[in-house]
Amino acid sequence: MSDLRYPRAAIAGALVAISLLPGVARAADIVIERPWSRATPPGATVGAGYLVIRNTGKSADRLVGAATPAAAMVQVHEIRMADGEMQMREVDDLEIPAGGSVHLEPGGLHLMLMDLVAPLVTGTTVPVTLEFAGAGRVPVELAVAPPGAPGPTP
Amino acid sequence: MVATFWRAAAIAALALLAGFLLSLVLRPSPTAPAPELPGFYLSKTDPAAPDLSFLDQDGQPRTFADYRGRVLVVFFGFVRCPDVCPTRLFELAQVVKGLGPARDRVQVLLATLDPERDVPEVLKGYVAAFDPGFGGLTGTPDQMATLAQRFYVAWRKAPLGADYTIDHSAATYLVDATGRRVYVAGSDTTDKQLFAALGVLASQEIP
Ligand SMILES: [Cu+2]
Repeated sequence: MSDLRYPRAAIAGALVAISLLPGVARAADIVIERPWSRATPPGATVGAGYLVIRNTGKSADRLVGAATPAAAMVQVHEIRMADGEMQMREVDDLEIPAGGSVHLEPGGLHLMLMDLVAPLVTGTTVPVTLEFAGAGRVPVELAVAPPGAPGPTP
Repeated sequence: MVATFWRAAAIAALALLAGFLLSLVLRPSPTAPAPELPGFYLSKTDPAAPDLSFLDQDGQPRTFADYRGRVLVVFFGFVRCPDVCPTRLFELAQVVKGLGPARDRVQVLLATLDPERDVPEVLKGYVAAFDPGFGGLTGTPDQMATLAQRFYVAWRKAPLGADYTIDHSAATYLVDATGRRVYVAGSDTTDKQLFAALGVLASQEIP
């Protein structure tokens, strides 16, 4: 058993280090990494938010809602391939397993920012409040990359 | 007797040969065979079909014949598509940027499946955010439904809360510079293969 102590200490240290990094929010056991979005071209009234949700706790949590002043509504959506079509559907309840993580990334899950107040602009940030069943409200800032970019601007 | 027979046979053979050679010269030049493009297959779609017409991003009535001389990269999508369409348009912008001088002979077009919302000026501003050279195709719902059907695009409106989204197949199509042939990318076709295919099609002689 004693040999587990040091790795544990290392993990705890790493978690503290992660929580001190910019762009990382933490409420209780939920850690948000790499929050980003993409600029919306003229005419687009919807945007997408991407991030990694890590649950460092011992029990599962659920993302039950999200809100932003930048859009009328935020939903969690999933892109999936079915019948040869790319389909986008709302996900009501996104479970974050204990000790696990869920990646919201292009071609998979995203936060859908619906009816944007104004276009999202490259280089700015978009504040979003995530609501978890267990961890409560977790604020994040999405860093806006260029339209269609495959990832956040380093 | 025998010598006469052989002489006649030789003359006949020469005549046949001459006729054959003449036929090669006089025969109207056949259309060049379709080049093999790894990652793409030749579609049965006829882009020159008389009922295929649409508006471009400037609101000008167009047919594929108007784009003769340019290789078209056609992607079906819509402006209120937050994930798949921007991803693809970004990738297509990367591919055409790498083409160098051949870029002038390649035109990327977003064909909208939501023509009621994606009127020419909306489409124009949208595609230009990815590359100033990109264009769009829109039109009446009937025109766009016909276009999608001829390209074998599977699509349908799906409710999304109070709004709707559009499920659609996301293949990339190439129309050659003669405006006669359509190639379709497979589901696992890479952008490297697309780049190579554009290089081949952009360097084709147009009769
Ligand atoms: Cu969505």
